[in-house]
Amino acid sequence: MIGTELSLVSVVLCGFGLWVLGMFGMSLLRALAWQKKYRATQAHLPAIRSALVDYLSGNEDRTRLREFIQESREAVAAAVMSFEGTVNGTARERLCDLALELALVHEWCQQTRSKNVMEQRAAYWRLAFVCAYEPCRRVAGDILLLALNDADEEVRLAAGNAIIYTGAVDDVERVFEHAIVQTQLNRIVLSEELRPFAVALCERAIPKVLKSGDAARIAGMLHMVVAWERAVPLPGIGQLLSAEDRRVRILALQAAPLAQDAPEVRKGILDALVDPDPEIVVGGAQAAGRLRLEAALPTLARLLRTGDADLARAAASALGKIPPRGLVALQELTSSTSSTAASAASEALTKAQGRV
Amino acid sequence: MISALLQAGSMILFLSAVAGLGILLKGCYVLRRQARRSSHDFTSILLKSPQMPMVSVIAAPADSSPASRGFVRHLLELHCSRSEVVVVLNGPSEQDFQAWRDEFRLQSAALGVWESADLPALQVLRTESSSWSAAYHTGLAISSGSLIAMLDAESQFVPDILLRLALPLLADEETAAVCGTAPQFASNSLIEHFAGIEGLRLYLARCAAFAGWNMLLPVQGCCVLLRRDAVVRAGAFASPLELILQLHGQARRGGPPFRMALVPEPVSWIAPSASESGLRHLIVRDQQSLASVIRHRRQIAGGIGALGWGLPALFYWRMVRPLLESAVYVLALVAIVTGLAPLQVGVLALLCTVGAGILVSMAAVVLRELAEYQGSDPGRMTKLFLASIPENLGYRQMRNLWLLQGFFR
Repeated sequence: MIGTELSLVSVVLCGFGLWVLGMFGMSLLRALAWQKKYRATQAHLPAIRSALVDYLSGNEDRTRLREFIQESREAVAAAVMSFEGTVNGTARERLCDLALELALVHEWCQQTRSKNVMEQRAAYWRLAFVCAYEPCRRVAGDILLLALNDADEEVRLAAGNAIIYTGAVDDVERVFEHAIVQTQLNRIVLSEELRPFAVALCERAIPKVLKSGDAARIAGMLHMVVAWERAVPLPGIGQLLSAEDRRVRILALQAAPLAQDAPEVRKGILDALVDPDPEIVVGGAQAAGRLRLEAALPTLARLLRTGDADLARAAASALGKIPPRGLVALQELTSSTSSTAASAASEALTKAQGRV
Repeated sequence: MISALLQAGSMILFLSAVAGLGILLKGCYVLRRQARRSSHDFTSILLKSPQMPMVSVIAAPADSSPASRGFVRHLLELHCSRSEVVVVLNGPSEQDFQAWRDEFRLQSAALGVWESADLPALQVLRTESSSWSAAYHTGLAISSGSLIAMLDAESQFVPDILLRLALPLLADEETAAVCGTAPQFASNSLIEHFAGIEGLRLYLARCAAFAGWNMLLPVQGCCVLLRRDAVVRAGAFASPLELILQLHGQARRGGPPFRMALVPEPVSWIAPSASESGLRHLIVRDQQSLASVIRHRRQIAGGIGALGWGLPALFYWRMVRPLLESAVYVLALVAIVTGLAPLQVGVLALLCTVGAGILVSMAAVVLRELAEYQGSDPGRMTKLFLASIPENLGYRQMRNLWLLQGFFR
């Protein structure tokens, strides 16, 4: 019996050992190859960057860069992309023009069809960077528009980013409509690029979303508006403040201070302050504070006196933003018999006085 | 009789090693899939986005030592456009509180709440001495973030950890919590290699594989970011480990679904121990937290089944297996010396424990390498691979005793 067990264990361990050794050998070879490639890229990178800086500062001699591209295309591509976020305007256009001339843009277009998802994504992000330059957009053609429907979320995001650079309102609207049904992360990433088109989107795309009546899309749209943090002629905000969908209403309260001041907006905020849903009340208090809505003072003071800790803090914070009457109310409420109210009022008053 | 017992014990240990390999393979698969999920760095966008949810970092330092105050300073340096640090001082002495006041120039803002004159993101709450859970919930009550971060004072973390951990929560509304860690390696001594292999096994099994089965629990060195409603829903808890178990248990008993995502990046880690005592401290500490959870299982929704088969498996792995293995060694030695069992029984025991252990450790090194899309340092990988041999010849047996000591302490 012991002999059988020993043989069985030995055979299994030998098989296992051979597999582990084989895998180790393979991993070692891969690690060595990767290290060699990495070292080569790192060795070239400072020189390539230096040549690129020369080129960006007006030097028209591209001989060195052409030599580098013969040695390592990946290193040059990495060096070009290392300027992402640091160059703009003419310098960016020069860089994109160089990428085009060195056929990097064509290569990236081909890589968008790669079976390696990492390579594919990198190619899309690189295209997104160079598509700020119109000739590069012509080379990329429909690749980016088609990628908006790609199965990979990150590819869709990169494509959306690239398309916004075209500045064509129809394309931007398409990205916006696409973005509002995406995850919060995608909306955050795209909202920054969409901000310059906020007014144009309020004219055409947003009314279409409102017309759809789809609460999820409307909520996505409001998320985007709030993220823009700029005054926008937001149509239909009054109706959204009294929407049935709780999520839409809360977001509309966040967007209200960014929209044009109108009686229905003020009414919507005042109604929110007496809503049975505490989260809507908190949203209403924040909006009232941001708009310095004096008509909300009595309700805010009542909320501070009678509300629970969260409501009291929101109301106190709003009162602190409505000087001078709000501060007077806070001063009076610091001696309230309710410890929650007194504490919230005192905290908000200290903060408001600090601001003053 | 003794011979049969030893054979049975050895075979159980052998099957445990095979199961361990299966778990490591699962971990490798999960990490490989995770690596495909995202390749672009969005943290710079999150840093300036007004849509980034407010993050409250709640800390309840045990004392007012320079290390604790340094930890809070470190928290205040985290990169996040919208974050606050809430420090809960649980029944501090006047002297301790004065140390905090001096360090951060605290001024009273409201009853029991202190704010720093220089650091607007800091709120200090002074409470009466109470349980860790009560203190934590008091901190939670005054915090305003919709995301709550729990960072371990013994861990090291990168400044943009909050942004990196927030990504999965923003990308998936159903994810309620995120845990981020990846092992770090130092290769100056054999002990550091052992610590590295230890970290690899933990990472592949308890982080990656468990994440694949939606049974992820915080491990040593990791940091956790949760949605506020999840923390509130969990109720009382004695440690982050219990909090997550509570949420898993509630979900398994028909409560709201709970999913904790893993960020397999070096955002937070425990520095590899350079000494035997340091390594022992880490192992014993981890074991004690597990023992505490098992002792308090009745207070956790779902009890021992809160994590499905996860908690019993952890109990087996960290408690029963070391006990069985140590017993097999002692019994085999006694039986062979006294002639009650043939020498082959000892060989079988060694093959099933040491032999299988060497291969499992080697597999951990290789599988971690395969899980990555890019190759790592070949020299370091080779050193770790070879260190798997001495790791199982002496250290493994000592580690078994540390595990038992940690559990029963």
